Amino acid sequence: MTAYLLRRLLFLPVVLWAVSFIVFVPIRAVPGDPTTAIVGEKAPAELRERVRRERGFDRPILVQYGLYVSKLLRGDLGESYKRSNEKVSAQIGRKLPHTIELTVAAMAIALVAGLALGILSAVYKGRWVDYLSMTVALAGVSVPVFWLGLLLILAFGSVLPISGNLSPEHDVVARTGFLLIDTLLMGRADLFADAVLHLLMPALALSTIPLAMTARITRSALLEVLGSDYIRTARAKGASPARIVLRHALRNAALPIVTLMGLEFGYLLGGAVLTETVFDWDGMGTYILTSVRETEYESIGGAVLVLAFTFVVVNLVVDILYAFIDPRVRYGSQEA
Amino acid sequence: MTRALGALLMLGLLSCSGESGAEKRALIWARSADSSTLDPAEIEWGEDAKVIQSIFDSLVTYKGDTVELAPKLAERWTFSPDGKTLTFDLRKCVVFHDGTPFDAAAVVFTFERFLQPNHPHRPKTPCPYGSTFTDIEKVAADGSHKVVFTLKQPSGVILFNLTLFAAHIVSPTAVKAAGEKFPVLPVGTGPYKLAKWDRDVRIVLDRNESYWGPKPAIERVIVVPVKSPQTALEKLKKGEVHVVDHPTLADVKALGSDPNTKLDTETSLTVSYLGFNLNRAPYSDPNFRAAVGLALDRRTLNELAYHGLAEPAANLVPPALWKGACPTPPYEYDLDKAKELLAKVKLDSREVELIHMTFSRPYMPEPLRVAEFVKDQLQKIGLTVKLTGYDKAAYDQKYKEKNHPMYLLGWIADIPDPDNFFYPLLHGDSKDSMNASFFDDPEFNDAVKKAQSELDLERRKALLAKAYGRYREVLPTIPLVHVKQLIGLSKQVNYDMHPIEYRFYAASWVK
Repeated sequence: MTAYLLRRLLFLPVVLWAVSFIVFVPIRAVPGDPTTAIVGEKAPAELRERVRRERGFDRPILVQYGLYVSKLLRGDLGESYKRSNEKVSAQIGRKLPHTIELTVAAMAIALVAGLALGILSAVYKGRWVDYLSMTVALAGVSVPVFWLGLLLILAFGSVLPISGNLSPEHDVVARTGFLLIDTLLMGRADLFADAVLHLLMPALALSTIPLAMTARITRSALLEVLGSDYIRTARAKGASPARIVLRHALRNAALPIVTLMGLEFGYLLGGAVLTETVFDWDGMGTYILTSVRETEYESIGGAVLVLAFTFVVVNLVVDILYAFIDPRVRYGSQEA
Repeated sequence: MTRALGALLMLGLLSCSGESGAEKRALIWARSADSSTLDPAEIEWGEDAKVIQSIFDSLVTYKGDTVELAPKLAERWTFSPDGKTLTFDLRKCVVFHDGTPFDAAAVVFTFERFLQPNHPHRPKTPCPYGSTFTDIEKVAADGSHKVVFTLKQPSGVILFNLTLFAAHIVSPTAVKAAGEKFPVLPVGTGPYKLAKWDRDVRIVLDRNESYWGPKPAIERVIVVPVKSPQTALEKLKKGEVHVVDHPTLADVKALGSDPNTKLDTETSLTVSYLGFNLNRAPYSDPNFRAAVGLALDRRTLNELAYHGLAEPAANLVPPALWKGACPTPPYEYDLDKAKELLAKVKLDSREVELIHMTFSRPYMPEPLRVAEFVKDQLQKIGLTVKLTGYDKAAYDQKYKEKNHPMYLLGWIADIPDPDNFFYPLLHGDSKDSMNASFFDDPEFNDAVKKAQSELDLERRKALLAKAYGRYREVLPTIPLVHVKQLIGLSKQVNYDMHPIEYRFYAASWVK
């Protein structure tokens, strides 16, 4: 297990290097550069040229990449060109907790509702509950998130906040960067409630795809397990249906579900661009979108690297979880 | 679950209604994006300028909601007889938000900071508007409250330029103390001071209780970015924000019918235009350009692409500026005449090209509609138009390559003077920046340059009229429309827009 983890960790720098290269080169190869974003469209030509030279935008792409990597190796993700040279790491430090909060909330909804639908569907296979659950799951996968977001705003916009992470009147002391935690640490229940209300609609919109996938995977994994001999034995011993499903079947069906949740968590961290945009959520998705629009090379690179890192770590955690869920899993050993 | 949501809603509503403690009643102002800097010297775009104009003061401003000059931190000014020296008597008993007294040394420091390339406190980001002030040779204090600007040549626009955001006066003490952090810790003498800036989330401005002038009616203003105009308008209707300054033309009409909101419009100093690359055939042929000009019905364009919220343009300079300076006959729309002129043009092919931006700008919120309109209109005189759209960076690159065909572009004036249209858009000096037609006419250049250094208003008007006449003869660009400024307001709020300046301090609650 330790050797396996070490191998995975050693592989991490290779993944990050590949990501940095894949992100950096195509973006800089596109015509144009961030000079206009820095000095504006009205700036005289000599100023534009000077900025282009000073920032190195006129140098060959591979040279620019080399300089970028040397900064990365010093732990410097670079700086924003337009925003008064603010450090990219500081910007990501503010945005990432907000996206993690949104992702965790969406995953919580997906897990609870997806498991419930999947279980109902498996237990009542071929009956109307099954069809209804799977229709909901199909809709969850098919409905575009931005459209669902707009529908939610139309439906609940009169009672829930339409956009943002918190009402702007409120002052929150940022201790952790996570609004739910910070408002609790301040002892302000009203601010916490405000943060939760802001979180509800985007989390619901973001949860639909993982919810649907969880429901479908849970159904198929449970159906396979429910046909096993040991389940028949449990029934014969008089175990209640609820106990059979929740205690005996679900644990053995958990492996694919956990794999899926891990993958989905990683995807949602980076893939919440649409949801964050619809709800003006201040997180990594809107950050990447703004950075792309403003040709902020280093912000785009930094954000993608951090998300790639998070994705790899989440997958590693999922691998470790396997061993706890299923004691038969032994990485690197012969019996595995 | 229902109970829990109910409890959360109650708590949330309590917090929204301001019963949660000492939070002040704040005006929430929604706009399209957060500021990127709050250092006047670094500013290059409107969103930054909005906040700056409430935190800092300039020497000169505009009277009421007009574009006439009025004193601000300067009480009065005089030009020397040769027009090369401009002396300001400064207002006394003014202090910066950090307690530093405002004096002549602060004015000198502000200008030297962005004019001197090696100034120790020069901002890290290049000063995009620095070149606007290159006519200034020297700024010197003459006593504690008198400042003398020595100019390289007389300037008819220097006073207007001194209203620009870059010329807002900064606290030298704060700049020295904050160093590179000054863009996030701005200190001026303005009616509001920065209370908090949560980047990308909100800027909180608190009333400057020691302000030298009339104090703002509203104690606290919170400026929030709401990227989507549609979302911003929904928030306005719901009361989550009080002002939306970026409503789209397509959506604003709904504001009038909503019981909680109202719409206000104001003249803006913008123009959208169709330009020609004068170095490429057939666009280089004056008959071709005149034919295109005659084929464009701007009234229909206004209805189709601007929802009737623009003024059809006959002149590059909006009508609000210097009426009579540039005598303008109404634009002509005459398809028969256009066809006659086009018949005189040697065309290799009936297919011509028009490039356009794919991103929205205040002067052209829906560029594809404008491009489609031009395509449709030119078809009526027998031209087939090939449209190609580009995003911001690629559009910029296209000009650099200097091989583009017809193009769509526009301009937002920085100062209310025709020179601010003629020089950057049409003068030979600007061929590497905004003069994308590469118009370089000696007669036009000479008239514009002379007008820049002419202080006598009547002589200046005559020079600008001469330049304009030449522009109309050559037609390097065809003005399309001047779009109006729009603002969505809660019915709880009064606010008078200014054609150029953003004045959060002009807002008040309806009593």
